[in-house]
Amino acid sequence: MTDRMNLTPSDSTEAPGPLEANDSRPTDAVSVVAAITVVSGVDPSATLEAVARQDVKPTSIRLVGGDTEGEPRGVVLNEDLAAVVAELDSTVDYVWILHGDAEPRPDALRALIEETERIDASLAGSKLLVGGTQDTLESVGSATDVFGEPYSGLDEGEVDLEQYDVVRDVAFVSSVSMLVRRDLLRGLGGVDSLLAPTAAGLDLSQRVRIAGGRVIVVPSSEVFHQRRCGRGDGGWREQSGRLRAMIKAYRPVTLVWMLPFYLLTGILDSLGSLLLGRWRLIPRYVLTWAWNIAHLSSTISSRRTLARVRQVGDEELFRYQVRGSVRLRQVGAELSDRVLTAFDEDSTVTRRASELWSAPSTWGFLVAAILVVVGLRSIFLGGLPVVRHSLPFEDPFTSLSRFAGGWNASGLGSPDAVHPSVVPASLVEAIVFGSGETARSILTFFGFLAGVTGLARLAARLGVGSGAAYLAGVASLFGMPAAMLAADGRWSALMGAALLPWALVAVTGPRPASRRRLLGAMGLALVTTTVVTFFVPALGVVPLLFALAVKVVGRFQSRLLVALVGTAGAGVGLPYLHDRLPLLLDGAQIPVPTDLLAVVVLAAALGLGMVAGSWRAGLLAAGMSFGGITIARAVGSDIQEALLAVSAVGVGLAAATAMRTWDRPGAFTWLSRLAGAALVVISLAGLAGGRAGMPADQWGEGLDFIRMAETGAERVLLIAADPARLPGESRQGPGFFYRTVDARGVTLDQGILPEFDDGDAALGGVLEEIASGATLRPGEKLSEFGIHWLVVTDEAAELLRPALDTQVDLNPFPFAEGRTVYENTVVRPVAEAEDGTPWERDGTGFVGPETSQNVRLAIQGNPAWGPLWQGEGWAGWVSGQLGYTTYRNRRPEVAIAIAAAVMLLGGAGLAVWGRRMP
Amino acid sequence: MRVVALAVVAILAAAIFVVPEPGQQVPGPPAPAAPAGYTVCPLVESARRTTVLDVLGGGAGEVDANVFAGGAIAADTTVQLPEEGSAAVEVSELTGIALAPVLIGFDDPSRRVQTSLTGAGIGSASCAPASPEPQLFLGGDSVEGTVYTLLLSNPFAGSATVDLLAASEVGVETDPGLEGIVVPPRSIVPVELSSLLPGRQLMSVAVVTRSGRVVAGAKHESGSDFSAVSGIQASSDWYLPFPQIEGAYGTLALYNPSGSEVPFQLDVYGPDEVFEAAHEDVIPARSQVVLAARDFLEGPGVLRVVATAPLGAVARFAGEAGEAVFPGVATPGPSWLLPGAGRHGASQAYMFNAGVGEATARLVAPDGQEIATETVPSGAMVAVDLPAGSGASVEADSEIVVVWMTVGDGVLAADAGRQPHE
Repeated sequence: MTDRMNLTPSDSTEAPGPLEANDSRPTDAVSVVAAITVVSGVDPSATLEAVARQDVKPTSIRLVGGDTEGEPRGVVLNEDLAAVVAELDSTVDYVWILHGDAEPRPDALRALIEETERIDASLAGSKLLVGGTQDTLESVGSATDVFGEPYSGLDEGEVDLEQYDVVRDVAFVSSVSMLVRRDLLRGLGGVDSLLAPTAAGLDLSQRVRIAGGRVIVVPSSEVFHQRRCGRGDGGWREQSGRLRAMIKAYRPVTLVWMLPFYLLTGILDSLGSLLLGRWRLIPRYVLTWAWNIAHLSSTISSRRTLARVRQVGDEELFRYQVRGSVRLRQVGAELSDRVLTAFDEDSTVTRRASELWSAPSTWGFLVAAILVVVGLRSIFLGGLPVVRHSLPFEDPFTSLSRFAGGWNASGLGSPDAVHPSVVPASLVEAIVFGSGETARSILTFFGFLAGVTGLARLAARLGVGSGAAYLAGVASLFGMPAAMLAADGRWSALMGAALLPWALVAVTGPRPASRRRLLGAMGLALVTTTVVTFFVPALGVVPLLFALAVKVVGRFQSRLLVALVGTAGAGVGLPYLHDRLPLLLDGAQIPVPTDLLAVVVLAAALGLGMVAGSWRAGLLAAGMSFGGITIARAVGSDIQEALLAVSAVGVGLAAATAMRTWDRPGAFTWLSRLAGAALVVISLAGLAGGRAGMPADQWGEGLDFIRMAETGAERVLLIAADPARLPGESRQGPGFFYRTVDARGVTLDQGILPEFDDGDAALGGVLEEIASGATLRPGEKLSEFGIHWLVVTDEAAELLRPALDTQVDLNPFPFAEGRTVYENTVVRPVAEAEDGTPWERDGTGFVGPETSQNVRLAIQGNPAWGPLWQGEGWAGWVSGQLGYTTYRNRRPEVAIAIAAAVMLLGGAGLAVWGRRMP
Repeated sequence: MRVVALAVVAILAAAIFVVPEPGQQVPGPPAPAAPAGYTVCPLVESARRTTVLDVLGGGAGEVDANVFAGGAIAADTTVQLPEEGSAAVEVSELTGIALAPVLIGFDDPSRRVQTSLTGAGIGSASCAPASPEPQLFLGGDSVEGTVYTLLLSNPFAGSATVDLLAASEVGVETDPGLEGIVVPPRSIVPVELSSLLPGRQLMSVAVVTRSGRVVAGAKHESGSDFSAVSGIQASSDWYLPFPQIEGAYGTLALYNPSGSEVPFQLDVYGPDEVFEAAHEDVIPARSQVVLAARDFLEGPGVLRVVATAPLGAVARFAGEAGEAVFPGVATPGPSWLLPGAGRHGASQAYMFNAGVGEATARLVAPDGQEIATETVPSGAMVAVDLPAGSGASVEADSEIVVVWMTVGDGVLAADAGRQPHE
C-alpha cells in the first residue's frame, strides 16, 4: 500500500506559501561552476558532453574524484567537492553539483538558474528521470520523516505526465543534480564527504534550510539518471548518513526524543521485516549505530559549525516532513497487504491506498467488522458467557488427550469420544499460554471476522460478490438460523457456521491451472473441511455436497475432486459421530422456532434477487437456508447444528444475492436491494446483547465457593426445571433435568454427555428416591457419585423443596445468588483410597499417594482403567500401588488424532506450497 | 429455468411452515411422594421427665434414633426390631438434654412411634413427619397456674421459619412474637404461649411454615398433670370418641384456620341412638368453638364433626382426674396401631364402628399375643381393656375409629390410634 505524494508535503501542519518571484538578473550573466562527481566505474564523458550542450554554459567544469590521467579538454580535476569550493572565487554565483552518471537535458541548468534566481532560493534540485527511459520518474524532490527516511511519494515506475511540474519547497533534493549558491556552500563547509550521495543531498538540504535558505525542486530542469551511483533507498551507508544528517541538523531538545524513537523504530522495523522474510535490516541498523558512534566526534564538530550559521529552528524542518515513520508505514503496509490478500480474492483490499478507500468492499468490510465488534462487544468487556454449550476450555493438554482417546470425564465418565471442538480450542489456548478465556474470545472474534470475509468470498465465487456481501456475512452470523444456534448457546456451531464459507470457497471456483495449484487447492480444502468438522462434526460432508449442488445448478465451477479429497477431513468427527449414532436423528433438539417476519423477508430477498440478479445463486441460497431449517426440525442436535450452520450461510448468500443485482434500472433491482438490506437489518437484532446472540452468563460466576471447598476430585449435581438453564446436555429426571459437572467448573469437553450407562441409571434412581422424599439422607446417597454440591435453579428448587426441606445431610449454602445450593456433608471424592484418602485429578486420570490399598473410582466402570481394574456395580476399583491410575485407550481415536494432525499440517503445507508461484 | 427456480424457492419456504417445530424437551414424570421414612418426636424431655419412644408396626428391621439439639446430632442409636416390629427407646439413656427432640429414621414407613412422658403427670403424643400443611393445636389455655408451651423442632439440615396464627376468646392474636420464628437446623425452639399470651381461657394455634419444615408439639401443664399433643392437620370430617371419665370434663374444641367462616354440624353417636345434625353452627374465620361433650352425650359416645371446609378438632379431658388431649380421627380404617398405649399402666382402647355393618376387631399386644376380639356394632363404641405394656395393634374387618386412654391416680393420658398406611 502506498500513498501518492501531494504537491505540498502532505503531512505538514502548515503548507508553505506560494513561491514569490524576485527581480532576477539575466541568466547568461550568472556564473556557474559545474562540479561533476565521478561515479565509480562510470565513464563521465556522457555527462560532460551533456553539460557542454547546456544552453547556459558553465564558466568552469570540474571533475570531482576522477582519474587525473586522460583529463578531458577544458575540464579541471578536483579531488573532492571541498577542493572545488575552496578554489572558487567570489565571481562564481552557483555550483551545479552533478553526478557522473547523469545526463541533463540542454535546458536543465537554465531552468535551475532561472527558478533559483526568480524566487531567491539557495538550493535547487532537478527532476530526475530514470536513464534509458523517456518518462519514468525517479525523483521530484523528497520529503523525509523525522528520522530522515526519504519519502518521494512516487510509485515504482511512475510515468512523468507533468503531474508534479510545479516549483515548490521540499525537504531535500537529490545530489544527482543540484544547484547551490557558492557562498552558502562555502559557509556551510561544503558537502559532507563522509556521506553517501542521497544522504549527502539530504544533509546539505537541511543545512541550507537551517541557515535560512530555501530548498526547491525545479521540475522543468530534467536530468536522466543512470542510477549507477545507487538508488539511494538502501544500504547501511545511506542509512548511517541519514542519521548523521539528522543528528547534525536537530537541536538537542529534538534529539532527546528523536534518538530513542529512532532506536525503537529500528527494532520494530527489524521485527516487522523479519515477518516479511527480510533479515538484513537488523545488521543494517546495528551498523548504522556503530558507524555513527564511530564518527560521533566529527558529527559534533559539524553541529558546532552549523550552530554558527543557524537561522531557523527545527520547526522549519518539521514543516517538510511526513508524520510517523516511513519505514514502519512501509512494513505495516506490506504486512497488511499479505494478510488482506487472503481475505480478498480479487485483491480489492490490497490495492493501493487511494483505491483501497474508494473500493466498496473496503467499506463493506469495515462496516461489517464494526457490526461484528458491536455484536461481540461483551467478550471484550467480560468474556463470553458460560451458558448452555458456550463453555470455558479445559487445559489444552487434557483436552487433546481426551480427543486422542483419553477418558471422557463428562457426566459420570465414559470412553465415548469428546466433541472435537476441543481441538481448535486447545490449540488456540496453548498459543495464548493457557489462558482459556483469551482463547475463547480470540477464537470467537476472529472466527466471526473470518465468517464475514469468507461469506463475501463465497459470494464472489458464486457471482454475487460485492461490498455488500460483507454485510451479508453479518446477516449470516446474526440472522435467523445463527440466532437459533446462539439462543441455545451453541458456540462451536456458530464457529462452524462462521468458517463454513471458507470450506465452501475451497471447493468452488475454476479448475486449478496446474498440478501444483490443484494440490494446493486440495490442501486448502483439507484444512478448511477439517477445521469446520472440528467445530461441527456433521459439517464434514457439506463441502462435497455443496460442490455437487453447484455442479447441478450449473454455470458455476466446482471442484469435485478437490472436495472429495477435502472430505477426508470429515474423518476427525467420525469417532464422535459414531458414539452419537443413537442421537443423530433423535434426542434433545435445538429449538427451531418459525420467525414469520424473518422467513418472509428471506423469501422476498431470495425471490427478488433471483429475478433481478442470479437465480442460480439464489437457488443455492434458498436450498441452504430454507432446506437447512426445515430438515433441522426432524433430526438430532448434532445434525441440527450442521444444518443450521448451512442455513446460516444460506441466509448470508441470500442477502448477497439480493444486494448484488445487475446494474439494470428497474423496480425489481431496487426492491431486491431493499429486501437484501432488510435481511441484514433484521439480523442486527442479534447484536443486542453483545454476546453473538447467546443468552446471558449463567454458570460463569457465583460458584467459585465450590472450588474453594474442594477436597480431591469432586462433582457438582446441577438441577433445573428447564434444560436450557443447564450447561451443555442434561438428562431427564423426575420433574426436572439434571447433570453432573466437575467441581472445578464445567468445561467445553463436558458439554456433551456420553451415552446413558449403568452409573446414569443408578444416579437417576437415587434422584427418584430423593425427589420422592423417601430418603432422609440424600447426601449419603449422592456421595457415592462423588457429588459434593447440589445446585438447583430456583424454579426447580420449588419442585424439590418438599424433599430437600426434610433431609439431614445436605446443608443449605446461603451465599449463592439466584440458585439454591446445598453442600453435601457426606463428602466422598470421585477417586478415594480405602482409607478415605482423596486422589486428585491429573490430566485424564487421577493421582494420589502410593498405597497398597485399592482406590475406588466413582466413574462408569471400564476395564481399560488400571492398574488392576475391578468393577463394582456401576463404578469400580483400581490398585493404588503406582500412585496413579489412568485409562488405557484401545480405540481408534489415537489414529484419528494423528491423522487429524497430519491432515492439518500437511494440508496447510500443501495449500501454501500450491499457492506460491512456481 | 428462472421460473422453476422461483417455484422451488416458494416450495422450500412453505416447507418451513409444514414441518412442525421440534417438541420441547420434557422431564420425566414427577416422582410420586413416598411415605415419609422418618418421624419426629418433638416432645421428648430427658432431664425433667422420663421419655420413652415406643415403636410399633412393620416387621423385623431397625430404626435409627437421632437426638438433635443446638444444631447438631447430640446422640444417636440404632434399634433392632423383632419380627413383631415393636421396640422402645428410652431417651434419657441416650442424652440428658432437657429438651431433646428425636428424629427416627425408618426402614419401613408403616411403623409408628409414640412419645410417652412420665413425671409430674403423664402424657402421650404421637410422633409425626414434617408436613407443609399448617399444624393445628387446639384446646389450650393460659389461665393463671398453667404453662402452655409449643415446641417447634427442626431436625433437618435447613433452617425453618414459621408463623403462629393464634386465636383465643379475644379474637385473632396479633403479638409480633408469633411471627417469623426462626428454627435453626437440628434445633428446637420452645414458644411459651402462656407467657406470650397470658390469661386466655381458650386458645388454638396454627403453625404455618414459611420456609423449611418443623414438627411441632404442645404441652399443657396445670399442677399435677399435663397433656401432650402433636399437631393435627385440618379436615372436614372428624370422629371424636368421648369415654366417660369420672372426675374429668370432656370438651370438644374446633378451630377454623381459614380466612372464611365455616358452617359445621355435629352428629351424636350415643349409647343407644344417633342424632345427626344434633348441633349446627358456624365458626368464624380464624376462630374456635369449644363445646362440652356432656351437652350432647349423657354417657360415653362419639361426636362426629362434619364441616363444609377443613377444621381442626380435638377432645380434651380435664378435671380432678387429670388432663389429656387427643386429636380427632379424620378417616376410619381397619388397621390401627396404638404404640405406647399401656406405657403408663392399664388402659382402655375405645373402638367406634363408623360403618353401617357390624365390625369385628382383634387387638394384639406387641409381643403378638392376642388381647381380645370384640364385635363393634354399627354406630357404637366399645371399650377394651389393654394391659400395661408398650401398646397394641388393632385389626378389624371394616372401618373403625380407635383411641386409647390411660386413667391413673389423678393423671390422664390419651391419644388417637394411628393407621399404618395413612
